[in-house]
Amino acid sequence: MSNSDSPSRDVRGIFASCLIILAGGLIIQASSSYGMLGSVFPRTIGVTMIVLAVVYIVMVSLGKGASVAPLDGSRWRRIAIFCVLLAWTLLLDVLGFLTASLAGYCAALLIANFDHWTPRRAITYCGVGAAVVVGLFLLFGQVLKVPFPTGMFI
Amino acid sequence: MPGIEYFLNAVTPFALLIAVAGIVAGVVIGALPGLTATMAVAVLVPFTFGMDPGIALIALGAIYMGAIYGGAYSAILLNTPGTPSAICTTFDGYPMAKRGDGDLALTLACLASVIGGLIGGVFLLMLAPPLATVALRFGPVEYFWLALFGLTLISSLSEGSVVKGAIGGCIGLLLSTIGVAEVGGDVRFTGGSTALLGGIDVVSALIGLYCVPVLIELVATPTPHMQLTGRVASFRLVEAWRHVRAAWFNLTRSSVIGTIVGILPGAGGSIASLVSYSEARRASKHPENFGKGEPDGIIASESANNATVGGGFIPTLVLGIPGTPPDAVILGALMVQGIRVGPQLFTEQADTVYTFIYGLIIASILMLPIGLLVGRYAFQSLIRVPKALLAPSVAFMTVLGSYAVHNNTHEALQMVVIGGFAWVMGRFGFTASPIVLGLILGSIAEGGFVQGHMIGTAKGSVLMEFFGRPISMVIIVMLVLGLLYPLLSRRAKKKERVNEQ
Amino acid sequence: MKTMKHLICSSLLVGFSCLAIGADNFPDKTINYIIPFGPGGESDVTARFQEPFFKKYSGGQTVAIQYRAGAGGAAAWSQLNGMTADGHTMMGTNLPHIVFQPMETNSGYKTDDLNTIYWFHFTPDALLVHKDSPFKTLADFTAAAKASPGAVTVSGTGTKSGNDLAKARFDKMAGTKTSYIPFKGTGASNTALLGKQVSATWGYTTSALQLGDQVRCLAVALEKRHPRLPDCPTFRELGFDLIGGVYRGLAVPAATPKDRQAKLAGIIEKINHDPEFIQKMVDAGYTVIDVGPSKMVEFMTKIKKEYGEAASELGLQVK
Repeated sequence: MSNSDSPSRDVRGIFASCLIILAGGLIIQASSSYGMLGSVFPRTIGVTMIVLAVVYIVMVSLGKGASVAPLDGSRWRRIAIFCVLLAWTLLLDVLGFLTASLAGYCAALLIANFDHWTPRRAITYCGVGAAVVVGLFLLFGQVLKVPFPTGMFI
Repeated sequence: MPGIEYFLNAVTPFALLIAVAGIVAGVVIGALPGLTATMAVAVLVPFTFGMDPGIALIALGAIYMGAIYGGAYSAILLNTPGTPSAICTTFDGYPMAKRGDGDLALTLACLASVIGGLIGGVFLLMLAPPLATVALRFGPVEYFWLALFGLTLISSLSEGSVVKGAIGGCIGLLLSTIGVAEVGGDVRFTGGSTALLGGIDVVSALIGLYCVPVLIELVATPTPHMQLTGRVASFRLVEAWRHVRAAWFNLTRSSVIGTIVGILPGAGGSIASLVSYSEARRASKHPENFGKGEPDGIIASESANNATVGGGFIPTLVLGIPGTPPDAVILGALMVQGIRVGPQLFTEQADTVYTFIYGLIIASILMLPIGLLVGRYAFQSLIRVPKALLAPSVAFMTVLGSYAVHNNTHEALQMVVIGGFAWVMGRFGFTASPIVLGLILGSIAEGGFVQGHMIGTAKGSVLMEFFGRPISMVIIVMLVLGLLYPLLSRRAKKKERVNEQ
Repeated sequence: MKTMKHLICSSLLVGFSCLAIGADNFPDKTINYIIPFGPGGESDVTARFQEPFFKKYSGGQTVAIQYRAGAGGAAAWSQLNGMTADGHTMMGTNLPHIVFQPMETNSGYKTDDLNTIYWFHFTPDALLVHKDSPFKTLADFTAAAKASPGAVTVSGTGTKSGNDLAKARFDKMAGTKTSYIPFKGTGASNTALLGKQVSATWGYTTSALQLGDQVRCLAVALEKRHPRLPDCPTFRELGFDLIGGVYRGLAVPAATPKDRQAKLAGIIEKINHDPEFIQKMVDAGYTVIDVGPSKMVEFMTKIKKEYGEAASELGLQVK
């Protein structure tokens, strides 16, 4: 889908390309410390990335390239769910796998719910959530013998 | 039919029971993101030690087959490949599920998997010893060219700009170099972190790249996660069968590709599904529908990855070289059982081998009823789940799955970071699939290049080593044609359009 | 009154045994046996050989074999000491890997960090060629390598690995120059040999048995010929003092209680003396050895000295 006839130019794409040129340069510099065998491949990729990014910038300035459609929906929810996932995985060792997962599940539940909270809904959702988390935890731990980290709790 | 006298061993009630149990266990494990076919087999191997070798092999083969197929469920319903082999199933499966055709997609995946599994099994039965030599014709140089050929698939996988797709491919290749280099032993791009010494794991990266962006978008809007069509979900078997019959050529081609890729040690189900998917797209009359819910895409991917099961057993049994990673586990189990593999296996232990091969073929047929039932149940329960519960459950599965890959918390963290990166990249117009392609093919390309270079230097001519070998030349020609094809077809289309006007 | 006494006694007993938790009941749950490589390799197969015997000698407890592959084992080894140290976690260790890796790179662990409690077997090095190869004997091989230095290629697994070391040691003894091509894993290295991509392979007795008559074994690095490879001479017979291979053992996190370490080592020792286990190991090409806690310090000191000398002599860059 190249929307070459659309008036909006892919400014974001140019920005990303500049970052990629920078990254390519850093990679080439970093690979100079590796041995002959280990540096060939990263260096080639670095050069290819720079070339491709330059090609893309040229393409956009010639009026080609594909820009991305804007998003609708809630921005804070997007950021929040990512932060929850990040905290969740960082806390696995600290709190223990099960505790961190129960907390993470609840947080994600709060973010994902768009309806009004009623006592009945709260009880059902929490019950189902606990069943999913504990059930899979037991399946993995007991049947499939996956060892889970135990932190402060389980 | 070779070894037909052993067919009866494979249809005893006990053998059938084992096959059904193996398929069910495999499907469930394969459907959970993060649990691969390799893990399914490894986890269940101890249960087979008490069994007769032929039956034990049937059990392992059924688990393997079931797990590869099971990967399609989460691919279709959650946009997350349950196993890496199901990457391409997400491309069309998830769009179909979103528009309310999830039941059709699941039935298609089931039919294609059964047929792919059967074709792979028949190749194993009829042509195993001659086909095994294919594995030996592929040296480092051939793998290098094959990986480069695989990278040209970026052009058919990238939506939007091909240049952006190529940049994404480079990012994937770069990710594949992180950690201790296979050849040469350099420690690369770890930033001094011990956690990154082992490199980026493909499975946890896949979960991050495909599932986290979906999750982020899932919670952003209150619209339902799947379109409800108002009718009760059913098998839609007749409709699916019509699609499959119309796509018989695609089905055969994909299954043959799957078998051959399975035979090559060093390639696997993910590569088989990528190659056959892009071949299907290239040959299709409606390539523009691919990636938007085209049944042919699911058929190509699922028949190819299940055909790798039979294909992978060919070098495993004939040469003692595992064709795919799960085969490595099965080979280990065979050694523990005291079975010596090799060309003599087919004569000296014909009963074991043929019992197993017939068992595998029967297991792939059994996948039809089991797969349809499990699929229907999974689909119906997924539609009914409210979004508020679906999102946290999916989030938990991504964390659990990426942790369980190597039982490592930093791999879960890696998954989240890569996932966030993938979402941001998506906002800049870079899609996930080329990154995945680069990540999977990177180490094959690099290993092949460096080894080929060393062998060439020892032989006195690097150029002859890279360009002078017959199979290399064939792959190079395919590579060049693959690169030129989009240009040629665009020109042909333009001409057509001009003529129409 | 008597019953009262009994009751007090038994409750005291229970109380004491609770205090001394583990000493008596250990192992009281499934033991995690972590393989620092992918499945299907030699570490995996030997662990699978041990698996059924664990139940027999540990009082009914089983082992759960798990894989944590990456960085030639370093990914798992660097994390061993951070794992639960209650004796229910143990990990396979390999020589020369755990000596060479920390020398060469920042591998995340030091050799002495790994608390190996038992070396239970070793896989002797073997030089293999394709059955159609013009090299009928080791003499043919060395003659060709001398005639055109560097033109004879040998495949092996990984860089600075057991195969790399064997290749370098033999080259030095024989005065030859061969080109070593590292592959990812034994399977890939063997494929290169069967596909005639390379002239020979530095492998192990296990590969020689596994590949059967598809390959010819030129020599093995053992003191005496391997019982399952009676036609394959030792390097010693042919005038090269080459004995070596990959040693495999089991380590536990350093903080594991000493009595539990001793108990685990005892279980492994009992398995190692089970005739059925020995038979299985020998049939597959392994050689069972016993280096338990009492001999560990002496053995490791000797091995580290040997490998240290080999490393500097052979030009592996030591940081």
